[in-house]
Amino acid sequence: MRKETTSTARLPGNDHDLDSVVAEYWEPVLQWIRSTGRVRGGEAEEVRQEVFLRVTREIRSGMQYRLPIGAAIYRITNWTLQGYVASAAGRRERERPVGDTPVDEPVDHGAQVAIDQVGQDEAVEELFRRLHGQESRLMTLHYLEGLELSEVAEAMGITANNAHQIHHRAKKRIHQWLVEEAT
Amino acid sequence: MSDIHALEQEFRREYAAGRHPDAAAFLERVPEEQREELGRRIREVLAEEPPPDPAPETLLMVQAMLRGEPPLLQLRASRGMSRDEVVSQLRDELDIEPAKEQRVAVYYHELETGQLPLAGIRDRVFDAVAKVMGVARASLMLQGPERSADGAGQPVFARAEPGAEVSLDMLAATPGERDEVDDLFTGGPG
Repeated sequence: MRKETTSTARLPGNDHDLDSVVAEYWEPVLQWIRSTGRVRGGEAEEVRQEVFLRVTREIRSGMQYRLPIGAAIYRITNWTLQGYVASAAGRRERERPVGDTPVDEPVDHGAQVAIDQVGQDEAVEELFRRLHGQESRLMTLHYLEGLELSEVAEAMGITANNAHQIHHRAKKRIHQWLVEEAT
Repeated sequence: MSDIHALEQEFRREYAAGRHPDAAAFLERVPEEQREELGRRIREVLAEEPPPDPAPETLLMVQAMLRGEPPLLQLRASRGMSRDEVVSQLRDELDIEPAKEQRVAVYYHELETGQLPLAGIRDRVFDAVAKVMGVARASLMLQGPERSADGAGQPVFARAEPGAEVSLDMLAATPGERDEVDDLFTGGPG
């Protein structure tokens, strides 16, 4: 059972909150990266550093994440890892002697650019669109419209308890997609 | 597949108990064709389980990092260890001959001040630093130079412990072939 994590939408953005977020997810993010088997040793450390440089920069600049903070950090981790792997492949390709490009090793030079161009709002909205009926509406009202769950329940004509259950199911489904996205 | 399920459960138990299970080590325990599936399940665990409460040392390193100070230096200071003590223990852990201790000192200085690219550091070094500092490997916060868009590193931290200056010329003072010390600190992942 996942504990309710604080969304940065509710964080004032000071370093005290940032301390807790970074410290809590510092180890899980490394394990997330290592579980993919796509980078090893110090490379995984480098990806982790990039993830938290970005998270730190975004929270300090007042970024309002639209996902629960854990889900947002894992999503950033997936993007960072994809970019890192693509960038490493590009570096290897640039360092390869001319005329020595194997045909069975695709190099995705465009991946980093594509990842950088993914707007966070669009990405989150796309995730919420993939949810079904009530889950989609609840997550949109809660994270994109900023309503408290009790207010969402009232808007949707459901009980607060029901809203919490739908919220939990939707988060679990999104986490599942993030897990699959990393493979 | 039942092995995968058992390993997933083992990872979950270890993680929930705050025993720092290493995902990569778990992947090594199954045949290559099952690693993708096990990795996916480990990520499910990470997504479902609340993150463990961070150790005080982790919070200390995070606070240092957020202040723009080298986290490893802060950790060493909190342990009351001199750099020479750390270097000596590190050399022991890495099984490097005493004559090369000064070269380990140079690399350690670079590591501690965020000048050494993390991607080049061998797993054994991370393990050894964590052991010497008395923290879990996954909790260790090492800061490498931030990579620029073209992949070249730029130093993030310029501040070092007062009085702990090390001549980086020492690296150049040992020209010739790369040896085990160079390999451990700059040899690449793995």
